[in-house]
Amino acid sequence: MNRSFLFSLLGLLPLLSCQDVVDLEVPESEPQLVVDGWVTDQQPARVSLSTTDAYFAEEQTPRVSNAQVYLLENGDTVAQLRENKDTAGLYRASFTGQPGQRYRLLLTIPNGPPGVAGTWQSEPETLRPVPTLDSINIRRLDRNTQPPALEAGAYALGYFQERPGPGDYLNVTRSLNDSIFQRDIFALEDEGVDGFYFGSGLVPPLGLYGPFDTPPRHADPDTFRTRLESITQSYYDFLQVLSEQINVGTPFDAAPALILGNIRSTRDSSQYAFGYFRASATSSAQVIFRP
Amino acid sequence: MPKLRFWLLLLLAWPLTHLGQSPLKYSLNGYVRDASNGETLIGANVTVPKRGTGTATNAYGYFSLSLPAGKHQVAVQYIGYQTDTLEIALQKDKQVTLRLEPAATTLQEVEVKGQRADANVRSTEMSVAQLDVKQVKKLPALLGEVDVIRTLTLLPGVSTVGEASTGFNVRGGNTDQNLILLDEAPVYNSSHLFGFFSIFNADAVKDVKLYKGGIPARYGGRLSSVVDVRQIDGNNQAWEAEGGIGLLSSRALVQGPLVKDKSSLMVAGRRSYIDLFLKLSDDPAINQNILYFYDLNTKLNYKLNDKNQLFLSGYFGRDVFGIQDLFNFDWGNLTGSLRWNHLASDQLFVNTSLIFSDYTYSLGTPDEAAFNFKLRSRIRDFHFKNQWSYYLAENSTLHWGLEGIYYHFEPGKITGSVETELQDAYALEPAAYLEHEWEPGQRWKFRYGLRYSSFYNLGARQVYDYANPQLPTNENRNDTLSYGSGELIQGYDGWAGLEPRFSVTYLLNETESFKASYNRTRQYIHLISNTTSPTPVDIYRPAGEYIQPATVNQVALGYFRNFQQNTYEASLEGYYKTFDNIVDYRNGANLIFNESIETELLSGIGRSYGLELLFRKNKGRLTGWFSYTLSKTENRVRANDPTVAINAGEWYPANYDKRHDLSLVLSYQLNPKWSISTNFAYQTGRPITPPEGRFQYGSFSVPIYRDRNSYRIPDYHRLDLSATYQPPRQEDDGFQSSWSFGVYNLYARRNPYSVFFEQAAQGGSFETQAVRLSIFATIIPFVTWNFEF
Repeated sequence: MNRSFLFSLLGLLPLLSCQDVVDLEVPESEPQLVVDGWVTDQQPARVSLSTTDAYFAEEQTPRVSNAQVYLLENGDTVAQLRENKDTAGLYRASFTGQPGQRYRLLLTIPNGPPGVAGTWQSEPETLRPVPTLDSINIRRLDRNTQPPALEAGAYALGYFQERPGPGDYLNVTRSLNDSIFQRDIFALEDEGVDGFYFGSGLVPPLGLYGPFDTPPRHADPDTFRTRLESITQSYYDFLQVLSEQINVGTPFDAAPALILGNIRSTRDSSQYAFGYFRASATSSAQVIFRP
Repeated sequence: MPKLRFWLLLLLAWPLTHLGQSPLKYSLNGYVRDASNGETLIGANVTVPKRGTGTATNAYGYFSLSLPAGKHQVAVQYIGYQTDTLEIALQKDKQVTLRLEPAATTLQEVEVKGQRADANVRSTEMSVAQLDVKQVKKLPALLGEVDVIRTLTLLPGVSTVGEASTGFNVRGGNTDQNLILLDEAPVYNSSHLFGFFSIFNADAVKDVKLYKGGIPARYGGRLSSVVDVRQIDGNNQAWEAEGGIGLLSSRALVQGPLVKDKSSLMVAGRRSYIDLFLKLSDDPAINQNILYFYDLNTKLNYKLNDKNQLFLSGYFGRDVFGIQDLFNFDWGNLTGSLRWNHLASDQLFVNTSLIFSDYTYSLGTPDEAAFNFKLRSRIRDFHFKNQWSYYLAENSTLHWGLEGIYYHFEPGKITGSVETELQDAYALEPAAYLEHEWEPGQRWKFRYGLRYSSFYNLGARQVYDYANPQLPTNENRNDTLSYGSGELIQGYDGWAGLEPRFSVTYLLNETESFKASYNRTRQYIHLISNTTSPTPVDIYRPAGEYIQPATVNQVALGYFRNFQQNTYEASLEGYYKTFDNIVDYRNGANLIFNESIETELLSGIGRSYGLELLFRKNKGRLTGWFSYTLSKTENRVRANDPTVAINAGEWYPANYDKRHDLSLVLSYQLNPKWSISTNFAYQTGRPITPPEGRFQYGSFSVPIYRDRNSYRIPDYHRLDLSATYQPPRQEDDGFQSSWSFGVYNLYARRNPYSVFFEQAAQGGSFETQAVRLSIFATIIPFVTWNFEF
């Protein structure tokens, strides 16, 4: 349960409480490496390297260039990722992964502060199979429909068969008219719904988006896309902590915590980099909303 | 299970205990009662000034004095009542009922305790505060809701993490380290509305006593404090009713004799109407929601004869929260206690109690929803107590007792379209104690005792086995061990279960004393919560294979002095307290519906030390107190894995560490009709964890929190004001009403509850900002109409 959800619904608060932005001086730590890496069965592998920055520093954090980045499959090097000439710190290779294989990232940064330079590697990530997203339908929902909705309107609902067998985890990425819902973390686990078909019998379809805004007359219809991504339990846990830690501060939030991923120094395993390297199979579908 | 058999034998053999009586003296014993309604008075002083001896009534209003034969001038004192002095000729053991008349004009508007005026200097008790609820009612209160727990936080050594926080912290202890008793029944969640108010209906409460240290041996099971709340017994002379209508809730109480002088009944109820506030919102996501609480207090007592009296007490309270008809959430306590007071002899007072306490919460969808679910969680305990007080001599009283608690934990059960559950847990906590109060002379007073407690975690249950039991993780789980029903999974007994308690008072003269105390306390159940303020969905877990019992050792020293015939009293106390095996949490711990909860927990130590100053004026038109606490509370969690240790294993401030905590409470009786009161509170801002930087991951600006609680939010201060108008009672029908008006947060300070850090704008921006959250950011007026007849 999202505890801040409880708090926001405590009726007195909108009448008595307030939030305002304040100026504070907070401590600043030395730069550390940040890795955002992804290998999939559909798209070329890519890795973004950057460093941490002061909390109130503006916009992009510094990029890390001139790194040697390798992708390993079951312990063997299968690709070297090359830095994009137009985007500093972005490394790519044409390699795509295969379900069932274990992938690991190995990278060397020749120069930089102590928390950045050196050789780093990820924990191995298994690329797990993903259920096929059969369809996305748009239905009008309100408080009396099944599934019900607080606010009446048109909703996008996803239909798919959860893979039988426990231990499946999914990340759901959504976009409307090619604009990705960037600030959402939408991850699922199969506990309690293992092997269920979402959208059949008692199990409702997966609510993906809604209600749609009614577009102006003669405007182009909205295109809504969803991609299911298989993820490991470890990455699911990482996302849960990330989600919990992005906004903390109400009485019902957990204590702020360091968000550690799966990247460590090869020389000293107690030395970590931020971010995560993950492996996913993906399945996508889209729907066009015509009111 | 040889150890369990030992306890069973001891339990059976206990009633056979018998102690002889001294033939040289006679016993003067009985009860002290309010003459107007027959209510027993707790802590009233019965003294024989010429002999320089005396005693105080116990929690049932009973006293016993051993005196030689002859005539004695006996004085009976209780603040707010006329002191009575009577001559008693003692030729044999004598039982009396001493009735005190309430003071005709009560100008002592604010009293922190009853008892005699100099009890703070003379008694062995230190680190204790007692609230007189009648007087607390006149203090300014948030939305007019009189709240004894909130008033406790105005005393030294007691604080909260912020406004609208569940529970309270005593001398560096976590909220679950307070043993909160309502007529002896433990209360697991003492808050309504997520912490805005306490569950105690002030109308139904007679006495509140808080032990911060020097905790008597009869109390156990929690580390840091005892809050002993006693409900009124009910008027055994005449039927009467009282109530009130406030902005937040209305309440009513009826009490009266079932059989005059023999049996009385009290029933009190409260219901909030916060739903109306919700409807003021324009937001349909809020205005169609449900949020209210109600509670019911009841007590029945029956005097079988002069030697036996029965009490049956109950409490039922519930908070109900719903989002339209889509989502329901409710939680609350149910407690019940049946007590039997028995005078085995004039010097031997026995109390036997059967107690039940039940805390539940439930959340889910309505049953009629196509895909429905309901999550229920519960903790129940069944408690037996047998307590003896033997008034050995004029200067010597012996207390001993035996108790046992059987716990049934139901951490979570989901029913509906999907059904699953966490395993129940069971435990037994037996304890015994022996304590002696002794006054070897005019200057020295001692209270020393020993409590022995143990704990047995029982099946049926399956327990995971880990390769590294000191730091269990899901990755190093080996096997599952099965235990049958009642089978011992893990027991905690032996020397570690000894809890010595010691207090001493040295009277320098009639107005000054030094006191010292030491206590060791053990706690076997832990509230599993990693939020700043506990929530209704947090659950208790027992000590077991991976969760250790926690222990506190505390020493305190104090200087007490009264001035001008006890008009003013002052105390200065210092304490040092260490904590062992306190529960802490891994970063990002998942505590909700987790079968292997041990993989999320860490064990740490703590320390707290401080100075507490209390200066109080007890008499006159102006009364009140000033309290100041200077303290420091830190925790330390070490682990072999550096990513698990908190703050690299170094000491860090606890969430509720506040260096300075100051309160000023004043009340002034303008005339017989009008009184005004004010509170001022100032506290150092509580610790928070600041981000030391940020990194980008995907489209997120992710804060880097490294050193826990290394920063503080701005200091807290607030001023409240209230006035009470009480017209004279109408002679004809006895109806009396009063009005309370006031404002909370008079100068509308935006006290930060917290400062949190977030990514500023939507879209691709990575800008970040600090946001101050103020729970009460404005002046909050209140008005309450109270009545009685």
